[in-house]
Amino acid sequence: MSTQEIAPSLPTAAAPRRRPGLGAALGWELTKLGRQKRAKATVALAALAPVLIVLIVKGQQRPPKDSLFGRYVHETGWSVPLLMLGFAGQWVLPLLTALVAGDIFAGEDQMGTWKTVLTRSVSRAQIFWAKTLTAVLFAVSVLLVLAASTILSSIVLVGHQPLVGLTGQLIPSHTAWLLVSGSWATAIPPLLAFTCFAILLSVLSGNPAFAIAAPVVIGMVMQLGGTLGGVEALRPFLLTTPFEAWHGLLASPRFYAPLEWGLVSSAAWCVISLSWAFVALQRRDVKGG
Amino acid sequence: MTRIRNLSPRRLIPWAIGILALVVASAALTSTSQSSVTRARLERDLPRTFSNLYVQQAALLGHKGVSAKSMHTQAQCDKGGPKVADRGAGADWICYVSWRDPNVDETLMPGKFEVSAHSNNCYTAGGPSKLVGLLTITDKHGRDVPNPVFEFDGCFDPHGSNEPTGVNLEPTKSSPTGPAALSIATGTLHPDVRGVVRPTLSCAPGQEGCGGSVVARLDGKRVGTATYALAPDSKGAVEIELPRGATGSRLVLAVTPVIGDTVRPAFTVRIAPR
Repeated sequence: MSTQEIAPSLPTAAAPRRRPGLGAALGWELTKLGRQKRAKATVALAALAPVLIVLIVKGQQRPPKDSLFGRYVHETGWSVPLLMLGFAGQWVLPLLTALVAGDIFAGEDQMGTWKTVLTRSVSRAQIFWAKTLTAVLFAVSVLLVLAASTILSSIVLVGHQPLVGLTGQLIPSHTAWLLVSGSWATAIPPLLAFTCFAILLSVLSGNPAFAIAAPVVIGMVMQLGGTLGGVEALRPFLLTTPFEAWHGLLASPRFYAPLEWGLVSSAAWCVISLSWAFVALQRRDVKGG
Repeated sequence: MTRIRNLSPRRLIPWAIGILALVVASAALTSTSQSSVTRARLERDLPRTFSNLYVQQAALLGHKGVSAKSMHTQAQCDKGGPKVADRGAGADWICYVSWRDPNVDETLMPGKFEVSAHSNNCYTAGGPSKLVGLLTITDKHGRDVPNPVFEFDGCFDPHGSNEPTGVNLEPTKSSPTGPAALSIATGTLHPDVRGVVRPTLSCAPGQEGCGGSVVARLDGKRVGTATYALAPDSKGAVEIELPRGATGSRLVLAVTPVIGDTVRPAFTVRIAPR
C-alpha cells in the first residue's frame, strides 16, 4: 500500500472538476476539531483559568517565593504572567497541545475511521499535513489565549507597576509589556516541538489516551532530569529546556543564546518527529475498519 | 481498537535497539557533563544583581550617595568548602560580597551571602541581615515594605565569561589563621643545687596556643619528661630534674605537640658543668 492516493481514479474524461487539495483537507480537520467538546473546553479553560489563578495568587498571604518572580506577585502585575509561564512550561503547555495533537491521528484508530478518511480524494500526505497543521494551529491559538488572558487579568487585578528583572534591574511598565509578551512568545518553539512529538506518538501508538498522556509524562521526566546535577550535557537536547529560554530576556544585559539554541533543538525535535510520523503513516497498512 | 496491543517481540527489536542507542549516547554525553553554573559566572552576576537591588533599597530608605556604579560591588564565591569543586548547582554556595555605602559600617564587610544555585543558571541569594536588613524594612515614609535585598533571584548567561575574577575577599582576621609553633631557647643551662634545669619555651602567635610534652635525653639517656601549655605569643619554662651523678653536657629535648605545632621536632641545649 505504498500508493500516494487511495481514492480510485475517476475516468479522466469525466473529471472536469478540480481535485480537492490540502486546503479542503485542512478545512475538514478544522471543522472536526471545532465540533470536539474537548477542544472547545480546552480553549475555554485557557481563557478562564488564568483569571481564577491570578485571584488565588493575589489572595496568598505569603508569595510563592520558590518560583522565579513569585516573590513579586503582590508588587506588580507583570510578575504574575512570568510566574505562570514558569509553571506552564512544566506540564500545562505540553498537556494543552497533546490534548489535540495526541488524539488527531489516534482518534481515527479509536473510531475506526481511517478507511473512510483515506478513501476521500485527497492523498495520505495531504491528510497528514492537514492534521499536523490543525494541531499546530490549535497549539498556537491556545497559547495565545492563555497568554493574553494571563497578562490581561494580572494587569487588571494586580496592576502595572515597574518590574524587577533577573539582574535586579527595574523595568518600566512600557518595556515590561514587551518583555512579558515576548517571554510568552518564546514558549512557541518548544510548544510546537511537543506538538510534533505528540503527533508522532499519536501515529505510532494509535491510542489517544497514550498519545495524550505520554508527552506530558515524558515532559515532566525531562523537567526533573534537567534539574539534576551531573547530566548537564543532556540539558540542551531536552524538549523542556527551551521553555526556560525566556530568562535571557529579563536579564540585563539580555542574552539570547538559550533562545537560539532552543529554536534549533525544537526544530530538530519537530523535523525528526514529523518525518518519522509521515513515513509511518505512509507505510501503514489500513485494512480493518 | 488499539494498535499498541499488537506489538510482537519481533516488532519490538528495533525499538529496543533504538532505546539502547539513546541510553548509550546519553551516558556518553553525561560523562562529559560540565555545568554552566561556575564560580566566575556567579562572582560576576551576583554583584550586578545585588547592586541594582541595593540601589532600590537605598531609594526606599532615603539613603543618599548610593548608585550601582559607586558601590564597586565585588564577590568571592565558593561551593561547599575547599574540598568541593566550585562548579555546579547546589544550595551550598557561599559568596563573600563587599561594597561601598557611606550609610553602613564598612568594618562589617564583606557580607556572607548564602546562594542556592540551580542547574538552569538561576540562583537565589540571601544576605546577612546586619548588613542588608530584615525581610521587611521601614521606608522613609514610615511604611513597612519588603526588603529588596533580603533574598533575591538572579539568572545569568550560561555562555557568559568564565574567566576567574581574581576577587579575594575572604575575611582576614587580625590573628594568624595557622597553628602556633613552639620553640626552645638553645643557650647554656645552669642546673640549680637540686640539679634542676629550666629550659625556656616560647609559643609563637597562632590559633589556640601550644601544648604537649617534652622528653629530655642527656647524652642519649632518658632523664625526664615534662608537659607544657602556653598561650599564643607567650613564654614559659619547664622543669627537668637531672639525676644525681648524671654526666654529660648535651641535653636533647624532643617535643611532641598536642596543640599547635613545633618549630623543630627536637632542640639541643648545653648543660653547664656542675
